[in-house]
Amino acid sequence: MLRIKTDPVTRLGVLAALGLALSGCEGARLPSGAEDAALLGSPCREVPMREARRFTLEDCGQVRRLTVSQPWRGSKDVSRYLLVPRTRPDLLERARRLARVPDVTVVAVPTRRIVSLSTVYAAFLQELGMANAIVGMGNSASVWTPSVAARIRRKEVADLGKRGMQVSQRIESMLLLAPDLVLASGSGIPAYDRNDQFREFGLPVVVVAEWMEDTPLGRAEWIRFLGAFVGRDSSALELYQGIARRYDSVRQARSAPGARPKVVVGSNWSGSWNVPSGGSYAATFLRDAGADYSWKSLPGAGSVPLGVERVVLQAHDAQVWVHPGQAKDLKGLAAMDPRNAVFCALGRGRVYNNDRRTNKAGGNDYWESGVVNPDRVLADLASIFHPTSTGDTSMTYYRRLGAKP
Amino acid sequence: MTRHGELIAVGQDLTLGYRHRRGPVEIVKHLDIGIRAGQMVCLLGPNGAGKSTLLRSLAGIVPVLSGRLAVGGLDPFRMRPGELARTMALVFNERPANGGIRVEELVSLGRLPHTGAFGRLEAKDLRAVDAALEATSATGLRQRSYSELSDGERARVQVARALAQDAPFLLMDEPTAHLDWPHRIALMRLLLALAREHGKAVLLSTHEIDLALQMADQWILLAPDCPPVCAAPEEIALRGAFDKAFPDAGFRLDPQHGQIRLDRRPFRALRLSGSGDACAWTARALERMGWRIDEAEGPLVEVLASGQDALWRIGEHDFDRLDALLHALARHRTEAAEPAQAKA
Amino acid sequence: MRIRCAAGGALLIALFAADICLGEAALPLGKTLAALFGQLPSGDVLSRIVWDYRLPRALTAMLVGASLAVAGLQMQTLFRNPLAGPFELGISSGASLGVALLVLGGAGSAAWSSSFSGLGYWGVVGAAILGSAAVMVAIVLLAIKVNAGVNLLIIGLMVGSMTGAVVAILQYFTAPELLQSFLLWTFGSVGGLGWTKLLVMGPVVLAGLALSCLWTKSLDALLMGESHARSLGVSVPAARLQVVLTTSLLAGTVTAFCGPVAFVGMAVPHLARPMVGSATHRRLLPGCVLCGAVLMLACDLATHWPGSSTTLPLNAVTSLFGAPVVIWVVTGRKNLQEAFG
Repeated sequence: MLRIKTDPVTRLGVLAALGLALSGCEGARLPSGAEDAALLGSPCREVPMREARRFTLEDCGQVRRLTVSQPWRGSKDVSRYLLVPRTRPDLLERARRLARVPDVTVVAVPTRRIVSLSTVYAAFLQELGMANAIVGMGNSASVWTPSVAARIRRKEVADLGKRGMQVSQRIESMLLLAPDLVLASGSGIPAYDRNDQFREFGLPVVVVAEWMEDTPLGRAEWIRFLGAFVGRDSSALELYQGIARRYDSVRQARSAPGARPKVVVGSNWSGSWNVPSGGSYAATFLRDAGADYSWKSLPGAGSVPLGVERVVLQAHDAQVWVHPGQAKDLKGLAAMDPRNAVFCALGRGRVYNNDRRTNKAGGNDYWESGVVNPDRVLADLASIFHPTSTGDTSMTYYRRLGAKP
Repeated sequence: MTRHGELIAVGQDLTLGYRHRRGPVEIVKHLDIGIRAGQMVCLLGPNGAGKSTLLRSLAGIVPVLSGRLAVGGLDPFRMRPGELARTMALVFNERPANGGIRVEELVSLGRLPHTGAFGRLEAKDLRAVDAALEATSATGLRQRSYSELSDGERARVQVARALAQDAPFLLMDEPTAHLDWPHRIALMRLLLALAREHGKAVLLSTHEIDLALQMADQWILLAPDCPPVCAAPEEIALRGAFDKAFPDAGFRLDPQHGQIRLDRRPFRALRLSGSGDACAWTARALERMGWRIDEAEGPLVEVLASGQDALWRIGEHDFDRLDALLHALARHRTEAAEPAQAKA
Repeated sequence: MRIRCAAGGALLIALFAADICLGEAALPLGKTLAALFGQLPSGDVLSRIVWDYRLPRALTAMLVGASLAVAGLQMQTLFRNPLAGPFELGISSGASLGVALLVLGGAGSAAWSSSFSGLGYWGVVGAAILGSAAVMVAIVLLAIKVNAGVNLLIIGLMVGSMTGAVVAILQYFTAPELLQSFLLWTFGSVGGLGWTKLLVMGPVVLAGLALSCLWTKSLDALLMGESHARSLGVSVPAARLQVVLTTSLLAGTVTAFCGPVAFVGMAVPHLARPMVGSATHRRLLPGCVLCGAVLMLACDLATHWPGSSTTLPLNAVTSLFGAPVVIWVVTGRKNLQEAFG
């Protein structure tokens, strides 16, 4: 290390000059303490979330910080996003310079050109009224959300999910779109995750992990996450509060003491039957809708492959059968495996699948607006388990399997 | 059962070879053969002359290029497998697919043409297997595993299998290869007995010229640049066809003695007197060493007495052992070599 | 020999009984027996489980084991190779290719949903049979031109590799959700067949076994090598065709219904040979049927061992068993070189 022999006065003078020079480069206003804290990583005022556990939103004056922890199972990653208003180029520049730490992405908000690599984000954005900001979609064929699907057909939205498209082609197409936000999800499987590659090319990738939430309301709360990016924070909050209110009222109604019909979920595949664990998204819905789920005591939030025999033994007398795989009608369900006749629910015709709103390419709105509006899903399930006079036609996502095709 | 002497295989003006893309390749041209029941025929010739091709043509594995070939009255190439099985039994060099097979079972395979749809062995089949094993002196090997047998034993077992098949014509491709001397003789004697006592026609390719000379009824002699011959060995020797087949080989078939004799250059003559075995062996030894036995020329070697008390006298010296005489003559040969060279 | 037969039969019955009585749903033994003998009311769920799930599964396991073992035996004789089996000839790869083309090659989930629901199940079965039959036809045509068993084996291996490559390409272009079901199929399973499917698979497989028994003589003749086979009264091209036909019938059907099952076809003949003590196929074939059935029942038992909450994939268990057998064949058997020329 070079030693420069100077006296204290000279040193102070040099520092002062440097300080002035630096401050002069920053433009008109000096950053306030809160924003500094955000930029430098110190905690600010956290905005409380009701049920979402996978992200935290911190309000630091003009800068907001979103932290996503564990974006996929088994991940130890923590991603941080600094949302800086586009009207403050000085802040943006400073943020970009300071944010050299990995996993911190600076995004200028509100974003106006959004690439969505999964169909569920389209539903969120549609709910927020920002569907027109989408300029590119992965999985274009499977999109259900009507406005986005229409824009795709009119070629106003670029198709980034063509079968067999190479990663490099996708990156090129995305760069041409010049998005200011790329919404993607991560799976933790290196062969499928391309987000780091996208980032290398300078694309502003935000990994959304709504599917890691185990509760329906938790997943729906990610509307506030996305709302922050599109500058619709307050409407996101309002929408969510409405959803939660409606969800809660159905849940309250169903939690009244009374008979809880037994339900069996899933289907048999080659002697193995995947059932959702007690702590999973599906199991929460069933419980909140007033059903008695045979495996509610299974720990965990994923699904467990059980042998067919156990399922038959425990659930053959279930009154209702939901999500029977790919069957289109009762006849098809019986044809898949004639032994399915052992289930009472099949005999009584009380079999329901969540594929009422599907398109030819296999896109299912249950996984789009169904995630955003769990209250409607819950209402469907509640009417399944406790049939009302309005019958089956008023369901949104579920349909009762008919006898014949 | 075929009659002794009946013609089993006959070929007229056969040209044998194989078909290549660019045209037929002829290996044997204009061969006439006739093989009869009760005969042992040896197929001789240098390697590459067409022995295997002839065997394969007779077995119906490859077709003849031209000429007529009939085995049991039918063209073997066009014969149905059932007819083929009734006509001939093969012993070619091919290892069984399951080497751990027991000898008994392997020999029983020979009965396949005779058994019913599932290959079950009946009493007559078991008797045939027993007889085959006995004829080849392989009864003691019954329960052994084929892979554990020695080469000689394997050869016998294969012959037993062919025998169990009870076909009138036996074809074998060098069955005596890899066998040691006593086993070679034993096998050849067995084959001869099969021909004579069981009335089979036996054809085998071999390099055992000595044994073939003493045992075969006919030779089929194939050679690259000579016309092929099918005749009795003595006939072949008299015609000089043998020497033509193996030119420049350094040996010849001596018609006088009925033996293969190596070409030697005898350098001096000797006179030999005596009689009996001792004299005959002495003559062989002297010729082996390069001496020429002459009636009038050269020093006299006398063989006195015979059997164990034989005595050899040359000039003034007496020897009580043949090899002592040979040893002395060997020294004499080297000493005598100088004057011979001086003369030259 | 009789003792061994009896012991084998006893083992078969014992394993069959065990496979029925032990399952992942712990049914009390008394109830199971009662269900088998019709002592329980017909609608009782225990009775349904025993009759509709366990019994067909045990029967399927036996049929699968027997078929694959017989197919493997014939191939080992024809190709004179101790490591030959239905996989090596590419039959299972052909079936996989058929299924893959149907499921993965179709336009996304439209094909997916149509193939695995309702009538579409038979679509999968049909595709698998067609796939293995196509491979068989290709190999038969080539077999006519090829004059040595070893060459045929190499052709089979190459065909297997080609079909595997095509399947890999299809997988590359498929969305992960579709892949999962296809992968599940490749794990193999005997538990997915109910009576209706078993009543289709059973007769076909039994026909294949019957034909194989009918043609044991050709196999015996092939034991002495192809040159000698003809002189023993057997036409070699016909013998090859017979083997190829029965093998495709046996292994193709099994793969169509149960997915590809690894190692059984190759390993069981090696187990049967020392036990039967004979090299003639008249004895060896029934031996393979017995050993194959026993082995498959044991593997099936291992996949759903009572007390474990999940089921293991069948191919994992058969491979765990089969790999040591391969090692044993290669190292332990004396005279292996001699044994297979």
